[in-house]
Amino acid sequence: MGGLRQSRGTFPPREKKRPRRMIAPLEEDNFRKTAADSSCGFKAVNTLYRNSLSCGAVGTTQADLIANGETGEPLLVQNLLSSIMSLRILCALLFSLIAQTEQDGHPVPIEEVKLYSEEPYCASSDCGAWVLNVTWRDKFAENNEYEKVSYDIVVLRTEQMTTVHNETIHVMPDKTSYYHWKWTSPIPLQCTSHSVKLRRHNEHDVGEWTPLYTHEGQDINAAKTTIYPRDQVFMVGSNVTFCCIVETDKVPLSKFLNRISNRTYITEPIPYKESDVPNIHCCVEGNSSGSSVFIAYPPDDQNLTCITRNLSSVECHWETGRKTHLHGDKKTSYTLNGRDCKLDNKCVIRAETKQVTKWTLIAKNPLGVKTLTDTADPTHRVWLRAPSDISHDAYARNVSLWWHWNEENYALLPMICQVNLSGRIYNETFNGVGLSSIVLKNLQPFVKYTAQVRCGSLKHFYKWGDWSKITEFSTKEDIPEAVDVWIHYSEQNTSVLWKPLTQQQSHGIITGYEITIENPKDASRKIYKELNTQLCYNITSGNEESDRIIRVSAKNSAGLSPPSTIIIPSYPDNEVDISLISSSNGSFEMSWEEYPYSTCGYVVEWFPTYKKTQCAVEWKKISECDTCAFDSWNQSGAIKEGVRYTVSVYACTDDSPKLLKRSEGYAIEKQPGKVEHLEAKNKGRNVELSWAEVPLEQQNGFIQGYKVITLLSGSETINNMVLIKEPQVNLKLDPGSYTFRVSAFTSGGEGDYAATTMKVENSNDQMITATIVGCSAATLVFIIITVLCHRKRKWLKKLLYPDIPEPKLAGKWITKGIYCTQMTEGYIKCEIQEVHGLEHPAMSESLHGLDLISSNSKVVPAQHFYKNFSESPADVSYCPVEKLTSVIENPSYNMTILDSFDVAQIFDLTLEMQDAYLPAPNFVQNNFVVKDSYKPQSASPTNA
Amino acid sequence: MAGRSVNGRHGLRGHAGRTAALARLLHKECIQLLELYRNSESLPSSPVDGGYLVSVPPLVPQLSDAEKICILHAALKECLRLLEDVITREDEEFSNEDSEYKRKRKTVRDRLGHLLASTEQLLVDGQKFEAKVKEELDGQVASGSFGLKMWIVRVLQDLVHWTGQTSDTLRSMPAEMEKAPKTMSRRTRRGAGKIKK
Repeated sequence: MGGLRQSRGTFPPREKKRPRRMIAPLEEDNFRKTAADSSCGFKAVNTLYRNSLSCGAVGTTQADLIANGETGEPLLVQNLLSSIMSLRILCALLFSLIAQTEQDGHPVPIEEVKLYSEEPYCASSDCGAWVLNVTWRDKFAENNEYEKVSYDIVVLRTEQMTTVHNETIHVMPDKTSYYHWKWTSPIPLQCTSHSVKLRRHNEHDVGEWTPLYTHEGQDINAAKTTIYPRDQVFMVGSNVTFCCIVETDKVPLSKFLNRISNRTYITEPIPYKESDVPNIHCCVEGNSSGSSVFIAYPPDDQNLTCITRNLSSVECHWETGRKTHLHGDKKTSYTLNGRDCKLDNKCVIRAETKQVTKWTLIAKNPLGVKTLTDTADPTHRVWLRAPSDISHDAYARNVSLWWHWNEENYALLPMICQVNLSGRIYNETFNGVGLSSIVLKNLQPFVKYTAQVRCGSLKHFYKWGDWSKITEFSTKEDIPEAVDVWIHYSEQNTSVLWKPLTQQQSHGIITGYEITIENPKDASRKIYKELNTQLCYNITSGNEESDRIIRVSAKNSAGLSPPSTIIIPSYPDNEVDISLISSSNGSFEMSWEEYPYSTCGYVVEWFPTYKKTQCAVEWKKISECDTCAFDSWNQSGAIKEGVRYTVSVYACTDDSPKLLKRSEGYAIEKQPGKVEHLEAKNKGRNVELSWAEVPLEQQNGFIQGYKVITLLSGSETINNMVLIKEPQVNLKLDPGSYTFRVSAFTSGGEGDYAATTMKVENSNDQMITATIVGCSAATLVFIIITVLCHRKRKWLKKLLYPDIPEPKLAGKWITKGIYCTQMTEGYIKCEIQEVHGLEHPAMSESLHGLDLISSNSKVVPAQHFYKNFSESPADVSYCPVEKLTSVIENPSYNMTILDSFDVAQIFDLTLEMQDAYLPAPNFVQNNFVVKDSYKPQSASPTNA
Repeated sequence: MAGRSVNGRHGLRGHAGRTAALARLLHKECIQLLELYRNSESLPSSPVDGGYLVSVPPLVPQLSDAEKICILHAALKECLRLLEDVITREDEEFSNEDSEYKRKRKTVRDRLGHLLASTEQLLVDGQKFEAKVKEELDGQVASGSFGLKMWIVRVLQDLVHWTGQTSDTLRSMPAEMEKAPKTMSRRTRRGAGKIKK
């Protein structure tokens, strides 16, 4: 069969006059296509419908009517349909005859038309075929080899005669004159019958249509409700149209809404996503059915890599990529160079050694095929397996490892091996043919090791093989390394110190130390062996006349370490100035000038200044610095905070160490402790505070000063605050009670305070002096005034107490005075004195110097007096005026005893006097004596 | 009755009570399993036609409780076999990824095994009965995946049914068991001819 060149399009222009059908939109892109050479065989039933094109139109109309008339039209309609059916058959016969006649006149060159469907992969047969194959033979093509030929092809749904596809294809002439065209239907071909007709045309002529060739659907003879497609696999994202073939006169209940034949209903295209469950149910009364399909992806395998592990077979590995969502017999199957693979990501085939080989992996599932290839010489792809049965033979500083290979082919393979020693790759690799043993050197004595071995091909290294299992071994003990020895001079003693050996230095379990003291002068030697855990040895200092050589060795089961030697001078030179050293970021930094006689570097020694523990000394040896003029040392970490250290630098010489520099300081200063012995003394308002310094062990830093806070007692209000450097301070305070808080401070902060309270008062002497001075001054002033007054008494009298002019009496007047005296037995004796004056000057003149004074005494019961006196003034009217008047009328000294007496009368009388003259009367209440304050100097001698 | 003599009256009643509770629990889980399957496969909730797959004589009132238990034990045994077929086939044909349905399915299978062992102890004198299965799995191949799913639904429906029957029977059993004869009556034995010793 010749190849086809398909083109979608309309018929040639001249065909426009022909009656045309509307062509349904093509949806074949939405449907899966299967290779043309599928194993599926011919399944078509070729039925020749000898209907002409125009009759087909009639048939289609009738089919539509049939489709609409199934639900029980009235009898009239049924009769009409029967008539139309009869007419259709008649028409078909008539036009068949006409068509036959036309064919006889213009013979159709297309013959041997065959239709067959091909089904995709599915487990069960009859699961739904989508591709319709059409083959035919063009007998004209045999004679016109160079003529381009085109064919118009129309596909119809037979029962309704609905055109579902038309196409014009252009083909090159082929001697065989057989042609093949395939079409993918939007619905399974089983859903209903499909018919095909063709016609040939070239540049000059248009042939006649062939008769309709029909591929029968299952709706013709299906015995029960059937759904298509079923059990098929669709790509994720596909739109699938299902059809349900029901029994005659039955209608599906849901989803299958579009009727395409008498018994067939289809759904709208259903889009399926990756996670959708593709089950569909065709519910028909009495006979339901359903279909399950599979939504999946084609194979997505990648990265095929083939290697050999035993030099005789090849293992090919690949990555499966995206999940296909297919399982069971639908899942992806693999073949490697034509051989089936059982696993999904690995396949083993025999290797053709020493040849470049191409490996082809074909991954296939119902949705597609993916091919992966890899090409290589297997000897260049050697991936060795792990060495097995690894064993060891360990010594103090080396170990031998042995292993076996389980693959015979490795025996002749040049290989390179690598060791993982305690988690680190050993820095040496080992080569050899079929290598099975190695020796690891430079190991640490008395150390546990783990080792693993892996190997690779030496000639064409591809990758390291698998690691062997881990083997563990311990190296044996060896003699310890030399210990680090130092000497420390204290005030009384000399001590030899040495540092404990680390695990790496001890090379085993240290069982003790051995010290040898040699005196070169007398060649004496003393050996001390029983020093198991001791790290310090006091050397009794006698009056040695020569230096002594000290040798220290550590001991383990393998023997003694090389001795460490130090020389103790007979006269240690330890006198240097001590300077203060400041910390630097929590550490000490010392620098010193290079000592020209230093032969083995320097030693920096440090120890707590105030802790006199003999062995609490640390040191560090610094190698010689050849180029720099200054050496420096920085120590951090091991130095405690707030502790004062003495740091010394020694030069290491062939002789005893030479002290170069000594300093004291704190690496990190902290808050100091409390000041002690805080005392307060006051002299008047001056207060003197003094205290003792913080003890050296508690200073925790360099004391920079003291903070003195003065508070009013009972209050937290700061009255005064002073920062001073000396441990005393003078304060001048106002009188009051004060609390003093004193705290020291360093750069590390302020320490706790010590407190004391004191009351500040004024001085007594001052008070006495002020009193005396004041009194003296007042006395002096009084005396002066007295003297002056005495001398000037006449003037003063005249100024202050002038002579009172004689009263000028214009008429008779009475002056009354009342004198009351407390009597016994509750009585008060009162006297009333009266002064009578003349109204007329003549009369007054006659009486000048002889004032008439009458005095009336009357004894009044005190109770009565008290009573009347205490009563309100409203009772003034109590005293009858007539009686008093009668008394006044009698100027003689006749005594008249008043029946009653009222003080109000006294007031009246007094007031009357006031009208006459100043000053106001002096009424002495407590003596119950009311006296007239006015005592004229010309009064009677009794008054004087 | 061996079981009776070993366990005693009260022991048997206690064991029957525990078996009834187990059956009740399993019945609920079978309902949940069927619901999970229908939801995961978007299948209609209406029962699948065709009746129960496992076929036994009707549990008429004339049967003693012991005979009923014997029959139900046989039905449950077939249910377990069908469920294991379902598991095997599902894992072959469909996704074997973990899901709530898969976990519940395993739970039901394990518990059904326990229920069978528990009901076996209630059998009198080692009575045996063989139930029939109308449609085996092999017959579903031709009907495709959808047919297989429908068959799975039917198996799950059977599980619900027979565990429910067992639960109901066991719940009403203890009082009855005291009165029940220690051996099957002749009438019953004739009626349930398939019961073997």
